[in-house]
Amino acid sequence: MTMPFEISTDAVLDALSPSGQNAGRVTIDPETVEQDLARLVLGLMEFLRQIMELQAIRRMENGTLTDAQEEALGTTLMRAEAAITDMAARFNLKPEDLALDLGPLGKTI
Amino acid sequence: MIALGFAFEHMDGVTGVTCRRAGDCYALCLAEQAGRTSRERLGYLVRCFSEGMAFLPLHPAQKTTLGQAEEMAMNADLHRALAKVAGTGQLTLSLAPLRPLQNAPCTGQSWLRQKQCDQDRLVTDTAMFERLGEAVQCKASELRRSHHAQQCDLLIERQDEARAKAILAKVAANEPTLDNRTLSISGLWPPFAFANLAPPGSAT
Repeated sequence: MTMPFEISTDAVLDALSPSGQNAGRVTIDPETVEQDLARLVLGLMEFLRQIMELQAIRRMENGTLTDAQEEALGTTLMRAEAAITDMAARFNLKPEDLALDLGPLGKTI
Repeated sequence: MIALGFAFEHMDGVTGVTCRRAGDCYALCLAEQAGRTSRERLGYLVRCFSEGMAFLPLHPAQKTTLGQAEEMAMNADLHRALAKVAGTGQLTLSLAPLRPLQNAPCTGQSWLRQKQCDQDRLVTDTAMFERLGEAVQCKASELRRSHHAQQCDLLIERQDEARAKAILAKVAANEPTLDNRTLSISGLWPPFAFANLAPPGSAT
């Protein structure tokens, strides 16, 4: 039987992934203010997009969407996700960099 | 100077790491050129941790200057923060698919259905990580997602490392939701995911 568990030697990448309470904090640094602002704005845009995505999934599960509506909603949200990812990349931001920490409310993404 | 963390006693023992006074404690520091990348900072943190040094680590992914550390020392309750993580380390669990990711959906409807599957998987993965944390009886961080993996950190006592890994191996081997995916464990790292230190000037 194959064990689905192994000790990884590629541990550095694991440790360096954004984690802990500081991962979503927006820091205001004069030298990186453009990137910080982009992160804040795009993070909020992605947060709203994901809320709409969840709402679309709920409606799909509840059967309140026609096939045409599913296609239209899905296409719109898919293109919005791609546009936000593309804009983030221009500021050297990865999708996971757009997560914002709302403290007791948790992270946006 | 780049700050790695805070200690409450002056410490030596790791080449390249110096102690600078910061408030009523010391900031462990590196020269700017030695700590430019997160990988370099992580390396020094691991060395300090391996030497058995008792310190409150800053996250290596975040570059903190000595000036910022001095400001943190004035504003944060570092003694309480250190008490929470003293004698501990963190294990990082990563869950990634074995198979290459499927081709991106090409229609809006298929994209939405893929997102629905992703949401369902997130729920089951969250529950699995919670079971693993309960099995080890330790504090777990929030689940975080990157493009290719989902991860969380477990805070354990340093002397419990071998026991914790053995328990995780046993529980993971019987975990039905792993399916065709690989669960990796790394550590024992300094407990920077649980240190709860925010650099000055940060929001929320």
